[in-house]
Amino acid sequence: MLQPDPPPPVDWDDVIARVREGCQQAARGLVDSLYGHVMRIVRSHLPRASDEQDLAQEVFMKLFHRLESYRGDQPFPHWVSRIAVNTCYDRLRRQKARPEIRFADLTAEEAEFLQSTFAGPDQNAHAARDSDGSEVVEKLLATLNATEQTILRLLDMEQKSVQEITELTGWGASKVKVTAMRARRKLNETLKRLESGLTS
Amino acid sequence: MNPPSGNTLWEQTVAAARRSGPVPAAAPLPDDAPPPGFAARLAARWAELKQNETFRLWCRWSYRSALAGLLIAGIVALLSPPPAKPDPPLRAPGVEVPTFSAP
Repeated sequence: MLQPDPPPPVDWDDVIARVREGCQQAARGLVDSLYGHVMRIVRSHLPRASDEQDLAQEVFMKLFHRLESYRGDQPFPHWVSRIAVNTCYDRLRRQKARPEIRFADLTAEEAEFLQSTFAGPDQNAHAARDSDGSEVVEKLLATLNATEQTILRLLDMEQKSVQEITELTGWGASKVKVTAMRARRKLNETLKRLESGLTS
Repeated sequence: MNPPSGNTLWEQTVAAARRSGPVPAAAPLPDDAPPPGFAARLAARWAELKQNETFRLWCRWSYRSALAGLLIAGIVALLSPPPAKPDPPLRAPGVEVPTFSAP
């Protein structure tokens, strides 16, 4: 089977220079090239947001506004990632509701997933094939505040290093570590509560 | 900071979720291309905002220029020596009319 040719590498310096001059075609090209990258970040940080297109639009508008301040000291997609993560964080902060997860709110599949997780990794390896644990993880993360969610998503879900997180968010390493520890503790408490609901 | 080692319930849950399927961050997108018109709409909006911004900058620049002009004019007015006052007009000398008393 023929593989499609990979897209040619984007000459970011040229694209950025033309967008700065106000070239609409270059701006369209920039959006087209970075759309997948931005959407991946938006979906991983706000997977339950129904308005992911709006959020992506907000990211791109911020990008255009701040384009003048891009100095080229880091790869352009990294710089865009930083804007996207911070935009998602701002949106999370505005979402005041932090729904508490209760045993009664879990679907049968989610309860089964948790049951097999609590039973141990060996049992889970079999059961997890049929049930999607990412829904449970999302429900758990939604109980945390914006900072905790952002850090745990980057650290535990995307498996980024503390150094990478500090570069992406602008937060200090100690803040990242302390917040992650606190957030994990909270989630462990929630999971213990759910475990007792499962066993009772 | 170490990645989750799988000792706590949260770490076990994340590890299990990872095994059961792609977590959202790693899930591939069905289509990386933006929906039709998305890029064009954004580019047009950006161009419009940029145009407005140029106008706004021009307005700000002209406002500042006007203020600066006024300020300079004020300073010049304050620092320049007052115009020499013209000498007061000479009074017409009073005319004394001698009175003659009757002898």
